[in-house]
Amino acid sequence: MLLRTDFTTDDVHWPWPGLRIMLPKELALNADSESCPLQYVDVCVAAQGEPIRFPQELLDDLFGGLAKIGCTPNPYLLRGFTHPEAGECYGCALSYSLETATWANRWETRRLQELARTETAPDSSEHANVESVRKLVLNVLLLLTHYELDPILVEGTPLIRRAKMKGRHFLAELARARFLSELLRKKAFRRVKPVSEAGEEEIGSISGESVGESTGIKRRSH
Amino acid sequence: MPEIDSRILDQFQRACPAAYRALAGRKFLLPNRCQASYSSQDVALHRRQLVLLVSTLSPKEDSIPLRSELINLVQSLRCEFPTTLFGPGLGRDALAHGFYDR
Repeated sequence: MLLRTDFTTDDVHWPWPGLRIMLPKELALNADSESCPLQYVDVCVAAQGEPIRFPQELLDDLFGGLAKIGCTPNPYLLRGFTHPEAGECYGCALSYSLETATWANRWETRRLQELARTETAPDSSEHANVESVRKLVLNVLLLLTHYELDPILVEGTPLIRRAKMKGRHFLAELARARFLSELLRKKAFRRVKPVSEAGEEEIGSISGESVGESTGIKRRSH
Repeated sequence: MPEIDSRILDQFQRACPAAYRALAGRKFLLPNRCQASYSSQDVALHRRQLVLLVSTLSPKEDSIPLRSELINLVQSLRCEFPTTLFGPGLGRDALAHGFYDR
């Protein structure tokens, strides 16, 4: 869909440095499969020269806590990472059998079509569907870029309950799930008739969670 | 991924409360009709703890799979783990509309 065009990495504005896309079981990753073997896919970008490191308070808590229970942490995490030569994009998907499909590619100006088909680094864990997953991720990033000023993205996730302790048990914060289709649902589209049938334009709207036909339809924002 | 002693995982929440809350402090409420379409959130939260502990206790610096999971963890933590769901309906239509197959 979106990858059929000449979009490049410069056209992608990451809404966050990293995000998770939860995948439904009904998602068929290729024409032969009827269900999705992957639970979710995480994707992130590390800019050139940007230090990638956990916050110091988390590291203090982690290292102090592990030492108390007799573990010896490796200082590996304290050093962090940098990518001095170019930005890097990392992807990681987890299957239902707890296997990972991961990839890492330089994030520098190039066509997204080309990036989607690029060989991953030699040590990456390949998965039968990794190219499909990478295309899906790039399409989602383009979609989020297109809607980057939408209130759904700007306002973030509505909180339902704050994190709290119930006796000795920690209850996680509860937030309302956000679906990609919430962005698409708000759009109307205009069906353009062939010249031979020129006349009134038909106005329709996308309902449910369908993405709509791509041929002969121009989308228009409200 | 290297194995981690299950006792360490069991003690992680109590020994490192701030780290635990940072990683596992948020869940998402899904509409009832969608809940069966997605995997357990507990599995995903548990995986974050595992990645952090493996990276701390058994690091393999050259392993791209682990490095990829770890850097995803660091970058997502910066913005409180943004999560979006590919809707079940969108999932059914995605292949037909060439969302990732073209």
